[in-house]
Amino acid sequence: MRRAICPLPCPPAASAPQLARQSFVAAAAARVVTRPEPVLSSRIVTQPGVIKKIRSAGPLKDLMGTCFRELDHAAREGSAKVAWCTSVGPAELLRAFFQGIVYHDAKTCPNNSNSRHGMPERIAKKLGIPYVVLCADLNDLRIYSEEQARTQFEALVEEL
Amino acid sequence: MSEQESGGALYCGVDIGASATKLAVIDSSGILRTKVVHPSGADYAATARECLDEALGSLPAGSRIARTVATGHGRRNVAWADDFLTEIHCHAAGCYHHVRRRCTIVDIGGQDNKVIHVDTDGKRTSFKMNRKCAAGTGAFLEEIAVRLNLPLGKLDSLAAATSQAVQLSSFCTVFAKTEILTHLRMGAAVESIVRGAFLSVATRVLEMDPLEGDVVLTGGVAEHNPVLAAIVAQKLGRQVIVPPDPQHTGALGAALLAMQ
Repeated sequence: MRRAICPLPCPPAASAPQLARQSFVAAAAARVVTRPEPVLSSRIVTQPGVIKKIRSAGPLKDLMGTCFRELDHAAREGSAKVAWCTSVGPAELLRAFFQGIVYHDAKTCPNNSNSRHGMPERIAKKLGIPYVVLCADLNDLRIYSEEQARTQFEALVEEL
Repeated sequence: MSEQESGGALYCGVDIGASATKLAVIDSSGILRTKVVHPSGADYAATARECLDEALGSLPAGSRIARTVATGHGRRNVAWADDFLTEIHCHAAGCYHHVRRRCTIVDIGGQDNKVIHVDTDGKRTSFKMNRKCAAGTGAFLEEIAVRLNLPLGKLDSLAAATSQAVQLSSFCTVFAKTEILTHLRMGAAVESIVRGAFLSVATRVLEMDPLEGDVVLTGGVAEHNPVLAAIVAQKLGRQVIVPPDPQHTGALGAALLAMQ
């Protein structure tokens, strides 16, 4: 899987941490490393050290691959503007737990693009599961509204 | 008086929003028996109680509320509610009660706006809610009214009096207020600025999500400003449905869900 080319000067296009993150994402799409402690979903094996495939991994891997290829093509051909695209790995983990996807739109993080480029809509359409995008940040908590996040999360649970 | 004499059991929905608290009481046929709206104020529990007392005062003596569902962001403050549901769920139920087909609900409230997709069976399929920012909400219009030194209730008639609208930012209330200063200095008519503010609200909600099927406009902003529906319809290029009592669709939906 090739990486989408970033036409913008910032962030740097090929830093080692980003490449490492992308390879982690590819791996995360295919498997979930279980934790020593028991986890919420019965579909994930709880024994320490066991790597277990989960049902949605295959379709999601294909979907992610298609999305990244589309972005790569768009960036190379100039057919659409591509700012940056990294992982949807966290979405996969959250889907395993909740049967719905919670995206965190970290506003000031240029690498956090999992809730952008129409990705949530496309994944929801393909997988037929509800989602919600919570606007927040890793640094600037002024963006985050507790009440709105609570309402959106409860609305997602109602849909489930 | 027996339940039969007083029309049977009644169901109550309370929607405590950021600006207004709405209460709707329906009978077991789903017909609206009474509705109340009060400013939410600072004490949500007391406001909800006042709304209930006023509603009970307008109903026949001996009327009994069988079940209450509270919604809106202050829903947890209604101690006497039997259940608590999000306003997204309740607006979907309230609108579907009127429309009965696949639709996209655009709810513009005092502090929040939402785009809710409902399928042909009335099931909610997805939704989008605004960010923390007040752009595209009633709060935006309140700020504009303050800047122009106009009473809030006059905005609708001013916007309807012209077809010209100035271009205002649809993403930031603070920027929009600053832009207004420029337009005032350039001699723009107040009517055009007010219409521009409504256009900004319409643009913001239309940017949130694709609007599929029939578009239903609800919320206090739609109730008090009929011009907004016309502006949204003009921008969309098709008709927009405004249900009866658009400010009360959330409370009505809560009452309907209480009955279920």
